[in-house]
Amino acid sequence: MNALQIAARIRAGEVTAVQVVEAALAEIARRNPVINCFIEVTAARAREEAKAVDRLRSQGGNLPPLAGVPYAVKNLFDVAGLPTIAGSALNTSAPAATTDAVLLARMREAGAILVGTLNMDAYAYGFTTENSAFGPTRNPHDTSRVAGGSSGGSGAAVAAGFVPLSLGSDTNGSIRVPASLCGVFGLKPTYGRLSRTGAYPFVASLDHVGPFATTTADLAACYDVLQGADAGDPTCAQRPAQPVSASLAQERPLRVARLTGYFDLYASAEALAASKRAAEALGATHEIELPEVHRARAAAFVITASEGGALHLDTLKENYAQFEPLSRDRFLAGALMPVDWALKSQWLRAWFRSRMAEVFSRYDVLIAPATPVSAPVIGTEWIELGGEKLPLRASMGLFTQPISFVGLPVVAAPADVAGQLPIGVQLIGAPWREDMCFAAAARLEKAGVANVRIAGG
Amino acid sequence: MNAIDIEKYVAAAAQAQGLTLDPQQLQRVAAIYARNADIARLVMDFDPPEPIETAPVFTP
Repeated sequence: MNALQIAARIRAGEVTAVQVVEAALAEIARRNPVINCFIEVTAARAREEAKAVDRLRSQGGNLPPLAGVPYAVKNLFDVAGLPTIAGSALNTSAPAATTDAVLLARMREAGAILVGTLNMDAYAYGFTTENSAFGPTRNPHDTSRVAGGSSGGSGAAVAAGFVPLSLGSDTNGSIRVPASLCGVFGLKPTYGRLSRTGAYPFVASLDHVGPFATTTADLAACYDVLQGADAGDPTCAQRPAQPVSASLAQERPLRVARLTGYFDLYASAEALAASKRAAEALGATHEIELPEVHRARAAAFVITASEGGALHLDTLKENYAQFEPLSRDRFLAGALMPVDWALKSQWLRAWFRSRMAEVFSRYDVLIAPATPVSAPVIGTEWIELGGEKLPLRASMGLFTQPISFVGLPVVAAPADVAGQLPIGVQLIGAPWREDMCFAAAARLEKAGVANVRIAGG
Repeated sequence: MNAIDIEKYVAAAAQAQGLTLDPQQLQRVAAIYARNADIARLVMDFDPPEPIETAPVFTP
């Protein structure tokens, strides 16, 4: 059942929140040892929250929109009473968070029930969720393969059917990559749209947070309850919520273009096919190339290495031996880079941002693959793309990185062929026009192109 | 910089940060640094125009 179906059944009295939560906890206990997406199951809290929902209903109170819907969060969100691990074994002995992250508080207010925290690449630096301390999260569609990352636990938990909703973060593609590899919907909103208060940072000037879901209606419902200004996060825009659920089913004209050039060059056959399938279903009228997009990706890479390296330099000095071996040398190399690389990358960002504003004067939605390939086998080090041998763990973000670089909103939607491994597309909108991304995603869903397949077991 | 210069730079820059790298660490970090330098060259070659600097201002 999806989130809105669960909420409707609880509202109708066909099932209780306690029954829903007990079923979710049982399924997690049975299958998570293989998938390894949950690092902590918050069973006591979940039962308490479920009882509160059932109590409210029995007293005749108005149930909020996600009442009784189980969800889980990437373990970089503060959860009151738990240390915020952010995928690092070094943080397991950190003091427990005293309050929930703002987005968790909003989910709670909407009646959703937290059932656990999810695996990720250490400190969010990675695209595969191969975590040395906590083990790899396995793709529910093929457990020999990665789930993507860094929000791999969030993608896998939804794709496995453990929860209908999850939250993750996306600095360079960390929502869009696992959404693509796990075959679910993911939203990376406009930079500054959703509050990051209580979310462990990676690269402050690129960090975004957002939801995963199995339908566009669920994704919209979750996004709508997460929206709103937050004085505690200086990057969170002081603008009113702009809900998208109500207009989701509306037919509206969309000016759509498919991105080619760089995106076609590095796309595998399946990624290219997904991009073309989505373009056809959305009636894309043009194929366009973005100016200097390979340099935009390079600049995002440099800023990430530099800012991320600086953030963790003290930890590297004190605890190099215990630091995630898959990323400690990358963090360190980044921390040692000269400042003009990062500064000029920021200048390029301003330039690229202006170019993208010009593109969006002509189009409402741009289509690109979300990942160059579908899920690789766990442990893969290298990949050949566009005739180049590239390090796999960095290259999974080739298509997502230049887009988040300038903070554009994206819905990642599955566009794979049944019987093959999932792969998704990015539906990219103009700043603050998440509604356009959702309109495109809903149209793909209605056309039968964007189908989420839950990997039961 | 060639590979030897990069190793020297990485060792010196790490030392300046209070980190002494053993030979294997140095080799690994220098290899990543060299890849980063290749990627950064795409930015430096383009020489993006300097934007009007934005800095936080008090409002109102």
